[in-house]
Amino acid sequence: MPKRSRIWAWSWTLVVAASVLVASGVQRFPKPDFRSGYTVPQYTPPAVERTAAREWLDVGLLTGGLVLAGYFALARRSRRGLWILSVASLVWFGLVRKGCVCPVGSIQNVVLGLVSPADGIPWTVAGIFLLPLVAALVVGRVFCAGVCPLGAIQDLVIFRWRPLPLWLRQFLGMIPPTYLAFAVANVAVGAGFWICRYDPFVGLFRRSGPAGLIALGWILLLIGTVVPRPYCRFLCPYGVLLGWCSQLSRRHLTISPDQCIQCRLCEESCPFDAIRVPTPPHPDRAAARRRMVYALVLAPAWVVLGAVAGWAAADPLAAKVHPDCALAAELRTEESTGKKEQSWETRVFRASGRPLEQAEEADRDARRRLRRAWAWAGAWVGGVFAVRRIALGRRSELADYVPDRGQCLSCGRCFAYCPREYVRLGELDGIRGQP
Amino acid sequence: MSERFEQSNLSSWQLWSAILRGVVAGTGFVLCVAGAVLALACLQLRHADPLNSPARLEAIRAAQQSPQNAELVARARELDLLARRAFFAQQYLVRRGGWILWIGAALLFGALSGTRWLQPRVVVPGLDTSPEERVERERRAAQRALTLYMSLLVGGAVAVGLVLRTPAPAVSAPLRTPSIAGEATLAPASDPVQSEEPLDDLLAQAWPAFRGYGGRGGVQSPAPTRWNLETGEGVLWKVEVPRHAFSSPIVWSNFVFVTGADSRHGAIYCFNADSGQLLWEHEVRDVPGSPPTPPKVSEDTGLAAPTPATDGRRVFAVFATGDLIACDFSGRRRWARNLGVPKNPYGHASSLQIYRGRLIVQYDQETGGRLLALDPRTGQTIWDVPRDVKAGWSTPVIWTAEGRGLAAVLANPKLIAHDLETGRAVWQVEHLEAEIGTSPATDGERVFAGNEYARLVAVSATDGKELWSSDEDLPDVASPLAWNGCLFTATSGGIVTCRDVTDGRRLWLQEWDEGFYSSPIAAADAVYLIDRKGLARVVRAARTFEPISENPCGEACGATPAIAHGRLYLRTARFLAAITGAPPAESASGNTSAP
Repeated sequence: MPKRSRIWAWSWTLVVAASVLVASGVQRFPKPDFRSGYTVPQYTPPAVERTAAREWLDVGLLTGGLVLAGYFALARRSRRGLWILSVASLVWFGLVRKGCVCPVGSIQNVVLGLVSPADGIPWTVAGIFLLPLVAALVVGRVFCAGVCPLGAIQDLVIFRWRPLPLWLRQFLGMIPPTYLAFAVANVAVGAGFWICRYDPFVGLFRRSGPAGLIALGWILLLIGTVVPRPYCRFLCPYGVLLGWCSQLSRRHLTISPDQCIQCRLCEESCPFDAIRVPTPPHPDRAAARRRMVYALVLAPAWVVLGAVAGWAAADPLAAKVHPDCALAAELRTEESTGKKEQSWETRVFRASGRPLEQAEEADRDARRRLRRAWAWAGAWVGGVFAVRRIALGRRSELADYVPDRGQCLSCGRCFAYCPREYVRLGELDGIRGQP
Repeated sequence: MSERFEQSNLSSWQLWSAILRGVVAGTGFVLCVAGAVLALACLQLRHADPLNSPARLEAIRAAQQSPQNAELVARARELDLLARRAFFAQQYLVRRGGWILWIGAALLFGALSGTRWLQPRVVVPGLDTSPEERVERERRAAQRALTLYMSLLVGGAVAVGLVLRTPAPAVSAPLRTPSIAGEATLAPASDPVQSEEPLDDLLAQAWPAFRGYGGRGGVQSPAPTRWNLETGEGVLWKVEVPRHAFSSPIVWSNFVFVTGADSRHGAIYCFNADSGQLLWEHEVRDVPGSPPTPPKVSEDTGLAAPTPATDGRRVFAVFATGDLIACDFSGRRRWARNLGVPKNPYGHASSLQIYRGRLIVQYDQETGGRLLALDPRTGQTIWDVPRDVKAGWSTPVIWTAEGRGLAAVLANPKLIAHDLETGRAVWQVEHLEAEIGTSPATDGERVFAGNEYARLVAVSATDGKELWSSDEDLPDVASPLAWNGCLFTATSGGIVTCRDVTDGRRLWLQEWDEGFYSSPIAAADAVYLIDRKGLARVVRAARTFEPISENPCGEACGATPAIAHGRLYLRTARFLAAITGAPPAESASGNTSAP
């Protein structure tokens, strides 16, 4: 192993290990234990510091960031501008606001507001959820390029990368829609906000959190040095929605400012493998059509299989997913072992004096709703799979190097690889930039 | 310096490259050292247990054994402080170390990125000899990968379903509600609606309504007589009630219920009697027929002046909006109805009573007053008796005569006894014209009722025959208490009078500066009198004045306490507290024995 790589590897290992220990160590100190009959005062939560004005300020900054990102990506074609904007976003939305002005998590608020109208959707949350999607419909995924703090922190650590093979990208690329579907299903049945609960970077922004998640955040950053933006590409549920909107975007970033000269210099410039290369016509059109028909016929079967899978997995995993099921399981364990009040949840339940049958009833109800929601989620994943499989069989002839609109994060790295860009900037003679 | 490098033929990018390599090496070294130190500190923190260090524990034990020994106490405190300080200093180090790691990692990334920038990667695209085959190969592999993913997902889910699927066993253990030591367990019934028997025998042991079961105002078992809510002495717990109200607490098993209201909504709160933990809160919303805006009420009454009641299975509460609601003990609404917004100039304040499967609601107003008995299970009306009286704020008192339940219901200008089975009026006493804020009292043989500007009368509980009357030192908010052959009244002007129940003769009178809104209650041979400023006086329930203690409550108090399971539950302006009592030692600080 080269010397620099060794330094790199050791440093990373130490950073990860120490961070995990820091995260787990600082939370361990128990509350002062008074055994003199003193009653621990009831916890009084601090006054909520968020004000409506501050929330609207965040919405305003998000809007401004999206406008600037679109301007840098499409009008100025400035990678530097996008980089500075993403660092600023990381500082504000990540470190200052501690990752909580987050369109990714807002999916859950929106779903909760839809399934439970009494909870409602605040205007600011609706804005945070919709603005990046609207921007993606107009100019592509500029939110990912310049405004998202989760993307920015990963973007900063990109060091060396190799293109990932298409099969691996497709395989891993199925994770985000799966995650999205089941996260939405969980919100709908009251199983909590899983996207926020397992956000790997919010612990880094806050310098506090569960040790496992802190470790996951550092590990993702470590992986991100050679597989750029792993969270954005292979985990982010909001990226699924952004990708769809970006596919339909009115305008989008282009690699060449005017025309592609087929120089192939940009071919490996994209860390995210989001450049579509010119595709020759299919050698056997009849076979391709046949495969397409098979895929179309099989599509409903995959939807049904997905639904069955979701339904089948819901019941055994319910105790790990839904709090009502978890409580009932703990109570069962306590009843069978005779050891009562082993957790805070069971302690509170027993102190409430509610009958155990009530926990059982809540458990049954939660399981029933979870089975139904997971069946829908599974069906949806099956549908996404079927569509992607059909899309892979379909080959549209392509003459130029263009960004893959669904995958392109509009980071602008490819600008510097295009000779026509230098012609546009006046740094290269126009004649030398011709094919 | 640049000349020196020019002399050594180093170009500027080589110089920067060397600097960055140095930064990488230096940062790497610092990270290694900082990481090692922090890892060590964290490991120590993980195993640190300063609160259980033998030296500290020993010192505390010695100090507890000899609390008068100032030296031992100081030593224990010093060791405790040292242990905590050492722990937090180390924690501070770890926190700062976290920042060093962050900054070091940022520097390392920056320097490494810089070296990459100085040695740019040259992209030389390979020659693609057969793009058609390559593309086709890649796509087929991708299709297989997709299929593999879906197969793994489906297969894994089905496998999980088959392997981990276990029939959910029933939680079949018998229900056990945590009980208070030394007291009977009063477990709520599991099915609150089906075939339930009235729990009045058990209710008599609890404090299920305003002034206890039937509104009698006392219990035979003793209760704490010394405490100090300001210092916490003798106080088991003290918690803030989220919404203010003048209503009083009630107790059943290990639940304490209170109501509260803000300017718009009322709420029922359920607290754990052992810990004071708020178990649930039920906000009163969406009651059919409820007015869109609450009626105007006086500040001294509020929207939640009536005290709730419980039948051992549900808790009931009524508010000045006319909303009457029943919740089970998990806070789930069982039924709710609106009785019509009461036409009451100050706001509705009559509390609910419960008696043998009937929820008794006194609903007096300027016109169209009613007395209702409702089915606690469904809220349906059992009987509804119109009342030709004016608005009032009194609460019925209940007793049993010859096997039937009777309720004395007082309002301007009558005291009427109703048969609780049918609602029929049994007897009545007239000429009680005044704004009636007090409730009647009874000792089982007699019923006492009176209000300032009217008179105080004692009548036979069986036929309503007037036994005696008085017009001196009459209460107008605090209700009288009949206990131990005495009738205690406390006025808003601060006069407490003890009368003989048989003839109304004044046995003693005591005057204090502060008046009383909280009604007198009794436990064993002690009477509890809490003035408006929150000073609780305990006096002997005897024919001669004999003070027992004075106990500060820390703030204004208008609610009547509840007594159950040997504890006193007291609601002040903001707080709800459970009092177990301080030892009757003379050194008990804060408690001043009255002269």
